[in-house]
Amino acid sequence: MARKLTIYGEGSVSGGEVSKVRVFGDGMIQSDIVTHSIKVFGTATFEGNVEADEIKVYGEVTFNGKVKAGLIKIYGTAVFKQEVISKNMAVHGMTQLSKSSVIEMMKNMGQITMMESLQCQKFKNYGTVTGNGNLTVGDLLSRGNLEIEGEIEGEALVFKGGKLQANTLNGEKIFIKFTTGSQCQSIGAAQLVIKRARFKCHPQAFMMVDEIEGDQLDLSYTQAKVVRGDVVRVGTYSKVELVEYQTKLLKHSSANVLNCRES
Amino acid sequence: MIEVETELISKKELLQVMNISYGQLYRWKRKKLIPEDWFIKKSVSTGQETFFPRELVLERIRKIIELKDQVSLDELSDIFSPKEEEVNIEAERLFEKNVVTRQGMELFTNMVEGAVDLSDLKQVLMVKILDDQVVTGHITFEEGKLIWRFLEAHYHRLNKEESCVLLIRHLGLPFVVGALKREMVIVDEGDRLVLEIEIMKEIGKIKLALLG
Repeated sequence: MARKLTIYGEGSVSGGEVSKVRVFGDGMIQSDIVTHSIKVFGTATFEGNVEADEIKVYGEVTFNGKVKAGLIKIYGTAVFKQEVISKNMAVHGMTQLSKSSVIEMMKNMGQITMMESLQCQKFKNYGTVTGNGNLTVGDLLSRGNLEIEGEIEGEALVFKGGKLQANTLNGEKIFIKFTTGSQCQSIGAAQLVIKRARFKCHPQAFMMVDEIEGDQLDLSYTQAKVVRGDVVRVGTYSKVELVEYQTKLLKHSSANVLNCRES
Repeated sequence: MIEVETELISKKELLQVMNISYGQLYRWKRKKLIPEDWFIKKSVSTGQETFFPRELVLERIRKIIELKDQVSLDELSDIFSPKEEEVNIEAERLFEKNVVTRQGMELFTNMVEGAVDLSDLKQVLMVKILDDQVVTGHITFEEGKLIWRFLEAHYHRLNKEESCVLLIRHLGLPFVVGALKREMVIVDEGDRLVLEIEIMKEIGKIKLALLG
């Protein structure tokens, strides 16, 4: 493990087992590599599988193989062509996850594009997440934009500010406070609260949902076709075409409920 | 995909019939107590609705409700969801809990010529099969051997929801077939389907008996 791999200028080397990898210029690592730490200040391409305790990218990097790492920090640009397994990942730059990945703790301050599913224990998003896979999380806090075509599923999902767009939201507790118009096809939750932020908010911003299902539902500034729940509160400026409730339905004076029935 | 002919139940009806809340249903789904394949989305006049295979889901939910006060959700998830794991099962415990009998164990010891390793769930499963089928005289010892050979070679692929092992006799000649989905196998009327083992269900039974 004593070998240290450093590339200045341009170079391509084979991998193996090394203690450190440093790329300052333009480098290519041609085979699988096992190492303690990788830092890329220039441009690097890893052709094989990578196993590292920490990976820090200040420049540009492409991983063509699988990546398994403890800590990954991206300040520049990183493209992962295969799956990623990591304990902790922080993105300040741009990242593309091409295959389904498992990351225990994820923090995003930059931009993430996910092409397939992503599984996290904790996910904090202050930047932008786009893509078309499913996102499965334990806890999610999103203060940035989250626009994916798949499903977001988790125990506790909190969205504050930013834009939210997903096919399906499903979770135990979901809290949404939006500032711009957001869209979902369906939302399902045991407890759901939808609100509009008081300040810095577009006056015509609404949450548009086709279908909302759950137990305790508290909606405001929401436009929905169908709402099914146990205790439903249709709050300020909401518009629902059909409400099916079991125990209770509360309506704000500014709410518009076209049809409702007790089931 | 689940066969079109299976009778379906809508989510709304399911929640009413079983008297459970929406949150509970999805909590169970997230804990993998109810497989994702069972959530079938279909277009209806008001948009999309979710349906379930009626018999399967009702049976599963009844079981969950029955057990949920005794064991934790995570333990339940172990019972219902297929995954590879190390289990430590002692023969004595199996006898004690009436999972298998000594006679079945003896047969199995004969079959593998002594190399019994009960930390391997498929072996426990096999002992149970011998117990249920060979000891009762439903199938012969030789047929049991066929099943064991099959399980030994293909168990890891069959360790899934809905997969099963079939023992068929064609003109009196026994052979074993594994199916990832039971509906996908068509057996000729002339052949006799002697035995059908739903692997996950049997494994679930074993785990359940050991827990109790």
